[in-house]
Amino acid sequence: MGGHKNIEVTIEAFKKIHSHSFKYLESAVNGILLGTVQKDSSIIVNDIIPLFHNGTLLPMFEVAMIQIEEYCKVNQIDMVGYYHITDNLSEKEVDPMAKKILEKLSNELHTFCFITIVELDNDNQSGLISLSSNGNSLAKQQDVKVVGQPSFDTLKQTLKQILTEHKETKLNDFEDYLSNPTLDWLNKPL
Amino acid sequence: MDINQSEVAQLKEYREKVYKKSFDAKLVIEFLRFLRITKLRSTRLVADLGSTLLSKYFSKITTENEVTNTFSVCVAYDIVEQVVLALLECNKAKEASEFIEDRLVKKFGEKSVRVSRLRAMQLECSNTFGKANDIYVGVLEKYPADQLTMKRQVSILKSKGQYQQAITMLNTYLQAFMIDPEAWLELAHLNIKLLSFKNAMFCYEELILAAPINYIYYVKYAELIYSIGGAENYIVALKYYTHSLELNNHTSQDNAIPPTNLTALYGIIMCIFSFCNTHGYGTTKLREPQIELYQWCQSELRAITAKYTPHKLSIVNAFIQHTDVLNK
Repeated sequence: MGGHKNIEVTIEAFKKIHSHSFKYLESAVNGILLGTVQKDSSIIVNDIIPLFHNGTLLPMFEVAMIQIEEYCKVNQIDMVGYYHITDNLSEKEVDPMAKKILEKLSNELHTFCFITIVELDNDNQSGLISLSSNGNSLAKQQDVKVVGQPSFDTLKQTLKQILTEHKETKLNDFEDYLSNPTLDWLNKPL
Repeated sequence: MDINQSEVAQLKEYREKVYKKSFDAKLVIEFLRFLRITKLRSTRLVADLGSTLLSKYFSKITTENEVTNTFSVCVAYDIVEQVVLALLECNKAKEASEFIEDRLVKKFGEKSVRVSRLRAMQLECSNTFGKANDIYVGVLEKYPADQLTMKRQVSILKSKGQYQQAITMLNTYLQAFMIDPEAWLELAHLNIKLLSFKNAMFCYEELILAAPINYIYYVKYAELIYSIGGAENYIVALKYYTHSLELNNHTSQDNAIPPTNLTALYGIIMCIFSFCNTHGYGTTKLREPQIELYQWCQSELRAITAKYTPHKLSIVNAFIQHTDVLNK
């Protein structure tokens, strides 16, 4: 994970990550970040694939990864990171499973980031931060910006709109798909 | 835990109805009742609609026969409780507290256990765990066998992030109340969180004994033992996945509802794939019925995808090829 590289997310990815946590507000959720790595090893996240909300175990994670890999190959996009949003804000340590997944990904990918959600405020307008591994624990690396740097009000308005129009229920993760194949984990733009 | 697809479909229908229409008290009451019976979750909607219902129509719903014919006073207070819980889950402690004090304390008094439990939960929501715990301790002194209150104490430990202590406390609780599936489920969940898969498996064994026809428990058990890994475990996982498929047998031929147990189909393929990759076993150690099952899952997966999500056919085909052990 090293170095201080810039990480930006598109507004679409920003909406989807927050929607996933809105949809399952009682549980921890996770997913894969897709995008491109620039020459200076900064990362742009274009899209996300939401994965699970009832705990993550190995077999279905492997299934998801094999399928996402194929999707990336065909659509010429890269896996650039992983996000995990905890269900418990007073949790001091990073979720053990998330840590394991990160280890696994760091063996396979050269450049990738780990993103989680924090409260939106003036200092952190997207509500997203990236973490970097620091021995056994993970430390905050930087605030994640939204591409084009829209104003704080625009971002808040975007999220409010999702909630008032209940758009978060339209987002489906891989686990939703497993219990109902008509639900598409390759969500169309919200 | 068992997902009932017709209920899920009904929930979707209700949701669309309550979004579209302007506020309709009768519909909201019906919706809330549906959620209480099915135990499905729609927290934010309950919080939004419920608080409007309670602030504007409360006098109406407590006086019988005005809104619906079958409505009774005690149901009105069930609704208050339901809405308060939803508000707490949405971090709206202040609004919840107003309903508790104005509606519930006035009606049932300070001494009601059910009301004081809600008060304590409101304190939990505002992160004053100490005070909340004091209330629970007080209730337990009077009613030492109050299960709900004991479980709240576990949840305090959980929200503080003290998972190990929460597990210890749940274990003590389960020694007294062995037949509480909710508690076993929670213990399993906590153990999975801390990656103690063996302990979590024990919990699911209990759950399977309590509800031997619930396919989800078998799926979870299979996933756990697969996660531990090893050739023998892959075969055990395979058996559990297969049994879950036996219990939930919606296939691609079934037109009423889409299949709901894709996890098992994928799981069976993964088990065989991983088994063949351990120690380079290859397919030599597989038995004939296992190969047949594996091939059936592959074709079933293709059929389901072609029927319900044809645009994903290439991805699923790539998955099947990637995990193919027979034609390598």
